[in-house]
Amino acid sequence: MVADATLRYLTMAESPTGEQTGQPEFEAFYLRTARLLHGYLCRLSRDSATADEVLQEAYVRMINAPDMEEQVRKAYLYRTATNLLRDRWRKQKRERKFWESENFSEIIHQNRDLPLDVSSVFEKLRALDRAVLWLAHVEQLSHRETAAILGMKERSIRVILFRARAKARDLFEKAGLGVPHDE
Amino acid sequence: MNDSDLDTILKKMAAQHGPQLPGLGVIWFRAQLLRKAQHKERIERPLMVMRGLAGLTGAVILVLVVASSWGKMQDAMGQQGWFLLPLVLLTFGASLASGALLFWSPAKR
Repeated sequence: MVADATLRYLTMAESPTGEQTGQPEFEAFYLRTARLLHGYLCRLSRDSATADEVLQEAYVRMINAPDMEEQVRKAYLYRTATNLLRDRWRKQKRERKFWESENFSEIIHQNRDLPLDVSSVFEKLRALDRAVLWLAHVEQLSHRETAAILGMKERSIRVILFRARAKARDLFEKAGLGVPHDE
Repeated sequence: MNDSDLDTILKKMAAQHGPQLPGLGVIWFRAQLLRKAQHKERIERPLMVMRGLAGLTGAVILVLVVASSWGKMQDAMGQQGWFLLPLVLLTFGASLASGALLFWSPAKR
């Protein structure tokens, strides 16, 4: 149902009321979502400063968009942020393929509070894989919602997610980052 | 490692992300600026259309007038070229300046 509402919004881009988000409502929503969105953007861009800028721009656009339900608004936010990042990559010509940027810098880890090993292993994945894994596992979105955010087909997302999981498992295992099980 | 382990690792990674987030006030302020700019653009859009139409109408009238009296102008140029040529240039310059003023908005400075 949420996915349907998300898709309806993403295709129509209109709300029944046409009103915009109020300040208290925005503040509460920001506090609920900003940290994870920042994490998503950090993982995708591999750069904390870029994540900051894109995050701000995405929220600015969301405030000026017509009022919408929480889940729909979240989907709108992620879609906007992803598109802003894509536009940025295109402008900077840092990508050789559609989704992947070439220059991986270790310096960016200085700006994060994350353990270097987990995040650096995760960042060895393609940007699209990182996005799909984040949306599916951290945000716990359905294939349909993920597809709507990334502007892809649901069937493609299913395949990409399956392969991304396999790649991630393989990388984490090679790095010795498995979860200890009680025997 | 199975999917459940992967899920745990990814969630843990997300939970450990504690960035210095951009200020709420700054984002809200930027959004208000953007909203006002969009509002202004929406208001000015019909005015811009009318300006365009006015400019086009003026240009068409000028061309028609010049075309209809081209013969007379040529005769006059032959007789008093020294006087008419600067006048034609002045008219052309004034037309260009009027056109530029038509689309120039002091608010956009």
